Amino acid sequence: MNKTPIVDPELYEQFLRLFSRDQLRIAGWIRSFVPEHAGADDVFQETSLELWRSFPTFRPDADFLPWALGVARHQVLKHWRTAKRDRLTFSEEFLHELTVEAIGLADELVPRQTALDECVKQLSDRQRDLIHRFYSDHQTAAVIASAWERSVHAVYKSLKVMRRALLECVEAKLSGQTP
Amino acid sequence: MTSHEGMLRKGDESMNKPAGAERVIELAEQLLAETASDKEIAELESLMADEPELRRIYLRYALVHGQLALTTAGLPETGLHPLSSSDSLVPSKSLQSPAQRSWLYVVTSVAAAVLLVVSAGIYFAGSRDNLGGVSSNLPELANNDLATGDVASGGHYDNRNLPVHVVGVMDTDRLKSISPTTFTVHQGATRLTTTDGTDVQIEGPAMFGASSRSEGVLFEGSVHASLTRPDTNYSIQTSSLRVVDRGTNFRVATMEHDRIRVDVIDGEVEVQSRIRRPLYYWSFDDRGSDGTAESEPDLRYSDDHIRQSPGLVGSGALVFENRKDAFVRIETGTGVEVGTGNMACSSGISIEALVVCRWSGRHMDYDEIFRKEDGNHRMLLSFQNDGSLNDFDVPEVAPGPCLSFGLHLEGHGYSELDMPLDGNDGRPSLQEMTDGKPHHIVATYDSFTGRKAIYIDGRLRFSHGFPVGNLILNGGPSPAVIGNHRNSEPFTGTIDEVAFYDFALSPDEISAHHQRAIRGEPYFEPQSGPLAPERWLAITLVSAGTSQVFDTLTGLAIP
Repeated sequence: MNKTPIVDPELYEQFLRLFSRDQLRIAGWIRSFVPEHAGADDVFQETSLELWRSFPTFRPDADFLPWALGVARHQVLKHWRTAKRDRLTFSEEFLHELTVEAIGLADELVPRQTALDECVKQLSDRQRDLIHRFYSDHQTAAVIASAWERSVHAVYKSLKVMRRALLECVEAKLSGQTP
Repeated sequence: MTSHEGMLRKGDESMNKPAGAERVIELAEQLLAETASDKEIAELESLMADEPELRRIYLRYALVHGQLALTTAGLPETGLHPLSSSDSLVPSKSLQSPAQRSWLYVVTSVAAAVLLVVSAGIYFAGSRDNLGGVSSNLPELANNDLATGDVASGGHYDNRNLPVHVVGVMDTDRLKSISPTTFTVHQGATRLTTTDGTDVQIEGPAMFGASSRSEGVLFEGSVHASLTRPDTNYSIQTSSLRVVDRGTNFRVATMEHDRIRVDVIDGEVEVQSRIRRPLYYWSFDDRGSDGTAESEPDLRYSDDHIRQSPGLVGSGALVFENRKDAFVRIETGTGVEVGTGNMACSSGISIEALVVCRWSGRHMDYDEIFRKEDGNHRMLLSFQNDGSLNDFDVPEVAPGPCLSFGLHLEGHGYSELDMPLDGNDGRPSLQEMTDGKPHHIVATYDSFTGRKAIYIDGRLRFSHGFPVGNLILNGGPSPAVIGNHRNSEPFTGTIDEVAFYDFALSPDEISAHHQRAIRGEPYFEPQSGPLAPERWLAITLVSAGTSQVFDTLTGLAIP
């Protein structure tokens, strides 16, 4: 049976402001634990709903992002509990620990995103095309391989080489080096 | 082998990375690509368990993946930009852009929908169809990709995706035919009908490979086969046993301790054990005068440039002198399409040879031992040194001379196990392989373990683990060739005692073959009987209304 709660317009506006600011950070954080985009979409959707449901418990003097990541964490764990037979991941106990630790990345999300964006600018056209196809158009490695007339493994390897290089670049930028 | 497309400068290698960091990133990549095995995930977890710094490295690496979808510099056509901490606390204009198909767009659309629903004061909970808990690994590339051509030199590679044998249809979508595919059924039952009309019900949790129209491979769980046509047969293979219908209705289930249970509902079935002998064995002992071997009529010698020498084992062997026009073609084992023909294997394969190698090891020099070129479903065993050219190496290895074992696995595509000839970690060096002495080479793949391996002189030297259950997709119209590939990759040295198996030899068997070979004896004891085309040996019949448990290793019935 659907429940029709009374919405406090002020509360809703406050939620909307905070959520709008941080939603992409939350989404990126979720996808780091749920690599596949459709699964990450589902978890993000559930997280968004849960954030609204739980918003009355949010203390106005607290930081919204760490609180939201805590909510997202539960949805990530729930996702993996449900999908455990579908795909392989860490043990539940370890995933618990890892996601707790990942909430500690809240302060790093913005500088890391900014650094990553700068690093992506240094990529070749081919690599940016790869990002667009894989992350934006959700093309599978097989489809990209077909378009590029390369092997599927070549596509996976290109992703791997690119992500490793980007990690090095982001780390260098954040540590003050110029990659 | 390895592509280095990244244009960014690699980070300072002198950075104080903790031990295991490289391995953590390597395994994290497998996890992101959803190709990590149970064992690899356990290894990753174990590496990070007591190492906070390794956990941080993992999290930051995973975050690159998570945040890449949100970058905009690489996606200029979206017109989006990432939010920064200074952005205003109102929905960004970018969120209202109508043109994106990106994940960013999906996320913001979802968020907008959520907020809309929330603002209407209605709670809801989404649900997804889960297709009955079934996931399947369908072939990676469409079969209509006819791009040929060579990445390497002169267009002698066939990179087409040839038509693949159709094995049946899913009951949920009878319009969609399926090629050899492994199904993982998590719960409930999944049904398919083979093109021979057999109804196959996979009862979750189970992993079952529909390998051909008349046979399936049971990796785990239970499967029930029911024949609808009296003129057909259906068999279910496990690691060492096969259950063949002699009736109409039966079930096979895996059990603990390498056992299976066979339940016969109607008719009877025959339980068979694998005959562990090669499908083909060429000793090259008596080459005839007309370009064929008298006792091996399936071999066609290209010309007289292939010298016959005293055998490394037996009376004859092939001597190749790096001539482009020298090869021995195997005029048997082909099929109309991929998945057909006698050399089409499903659950396992071994290629074995005794070789004296005089390969140069130079860049772009290839020496083929064995190759069957059915487009992207080729299989090969060859010496290669092609640097960063083809990107087929799994696992990724550093450029340099290697011994390559290429195979197409369902769900993974074509890849090569490139064993570096660097003398490290138990691997042979190029000098060892080209020292003028005979070397026993065996390449194996076993879908029941996922292990792809290369053995030299009786010992495992290099291997890679794929997830359990990936069927081999090979076979097809091209004849196999020994000692060359399309007049471009001639062998230099001697090849003898080539054997081809439709299963993975065990380490003990390989060691025994090597011991016999270095004594100048064939791989098999004379008293083990002649090589025969039969692949399976009947153990017993199981009748309707009864069940019987078997040990898959010994083939013995368990009371």
